Amino acid sequence: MSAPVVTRPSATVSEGAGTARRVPGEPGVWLLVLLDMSVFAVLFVAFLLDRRNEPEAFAAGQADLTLVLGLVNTLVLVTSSALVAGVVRRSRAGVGGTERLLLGSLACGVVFGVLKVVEWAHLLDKGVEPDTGTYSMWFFVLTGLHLVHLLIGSLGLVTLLVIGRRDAHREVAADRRALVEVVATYWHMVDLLWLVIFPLVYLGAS
Amino acid sequence: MSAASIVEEGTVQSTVPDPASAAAGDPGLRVLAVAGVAGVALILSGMLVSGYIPAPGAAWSPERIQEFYAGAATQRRLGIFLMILGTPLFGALVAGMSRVLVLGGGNRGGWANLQTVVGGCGTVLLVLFAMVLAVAAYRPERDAEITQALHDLGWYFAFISAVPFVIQALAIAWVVLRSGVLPRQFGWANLSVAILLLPGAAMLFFHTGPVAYDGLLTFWVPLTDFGLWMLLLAWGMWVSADRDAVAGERR
Amino acid sequence: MTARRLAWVWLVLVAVTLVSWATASKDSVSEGAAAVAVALAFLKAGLVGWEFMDLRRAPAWLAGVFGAWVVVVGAVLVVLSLS
Repeated sequence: MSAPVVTRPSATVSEGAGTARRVPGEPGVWLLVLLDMSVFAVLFVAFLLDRRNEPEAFAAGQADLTLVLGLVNTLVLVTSSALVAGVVRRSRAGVGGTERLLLGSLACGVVFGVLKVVEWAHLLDKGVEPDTGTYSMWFFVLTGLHLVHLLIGSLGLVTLLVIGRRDAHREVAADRRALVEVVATYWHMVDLLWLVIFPLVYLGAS
Repeated sequence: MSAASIVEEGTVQSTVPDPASAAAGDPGLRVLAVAGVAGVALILSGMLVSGYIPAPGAAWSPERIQEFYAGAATQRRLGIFLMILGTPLFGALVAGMSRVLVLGGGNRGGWANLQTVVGGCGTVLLVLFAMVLAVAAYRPERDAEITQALHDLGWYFAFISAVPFVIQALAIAWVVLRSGVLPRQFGWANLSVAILLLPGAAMLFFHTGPVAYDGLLTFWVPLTDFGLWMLLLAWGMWVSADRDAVAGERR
Repeated sequence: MTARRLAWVWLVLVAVTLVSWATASKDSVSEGAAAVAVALAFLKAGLVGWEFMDLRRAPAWLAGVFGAWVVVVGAVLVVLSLS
């Protein structure tokens, strides 16, 4: 790849030089993030409305899950998010050492994905399928939709790694820093949505 | 605009000569934009007339689907007829966007071409959506299971087909964010469209809930999203007709 | 954001996660405990937004929209988990 693949006017970045309030990343990514969060919000409400209709079935479905997998995944994703926040901090400060943190957060993402697939395989093995009942339908919808978001975010982290290596010996351009913030913003959203999915799906009344 | 993209634009224009754009802008883009808006209007009004909004349920029995088509048959056929007229017009938006993308960033990496190819596929899928539903509505007196299968097939053409449209939106977003041919928010809106359309591809796993083919993520969100997206693309083409005129005068 | 502050936020997120797990992972979970877990989740979501996403230094409109999501969606979900 010879030409820069992503360029942008860096107005929002240069504004951030002082203590002035500024939009992390760029405004566009927040359009995407807030739209996505709104869709998830509607799903969360619909999930709990369904739970009110058949509380016993939901409790029974929840009992099929392996709670510890959900807990570990929550901790893994929170850690990943913290590492990415460290990447943004270092990138803004213009100091190096982001690669280690990026690899760490990506590793967390991979662990999350693997555990999720293990959990799905385990459930399918037990005969719990997306069409089995209302609870399992919701379980696969919410975790599946979230996993797709995690994969997209992981692609973003990989992009940062690749660009970081390529630019290792060059001066880091302002638009690179904006890209770091864009990917980080998305990744934090993936974390944040899981923080809500975890108690809804795993810790409901039983 | 970088020197490289000007050179590329030059080569594109030499292979596709377009003297009109040199001085007078590209008003033809406006015609395509209007055609795209007409397409949205025809598809949406057709779906309303034929009773597809809200969508027939994925969990409906064959008999219920049969009754759906047998009752108010002529009205449903009229709605489908409007969809038959409207769906090909998506092609106008694909063609116009290809033009806009090439004007702005050349065709580096073949991304403008990607938009054309998957957009063309998408146009075919939309046309088949309307055509297969027309077949379903044609003989409602046949066995209920057959009508159900045809209805399913028609619905699948429009709603499980999210992926080509996702790729199309990503290609548009990529070129726009890289070249600045349209405002960055236009690129981000396309990324949002892609992410909101994508879950529909999972509808084959579900018969109830938000990912069933009448659900929030597979029907309501994509329907809204897709309609707004078509209007957005038309807008992008409309303003690019102006911008092209300015660029043409400068040359 | 300093590294120390980041580490504290991470520690709080982990601790709150463990607390909600401990209170809501018994054999029989009451609706109240479930609602507390949801409320704690939105507390964490707000913290992720405020600190990690750096909304505390973002323009008021953005922090406001995000905060409204956390407060409104959080309140609705807590109420729905209670009944």
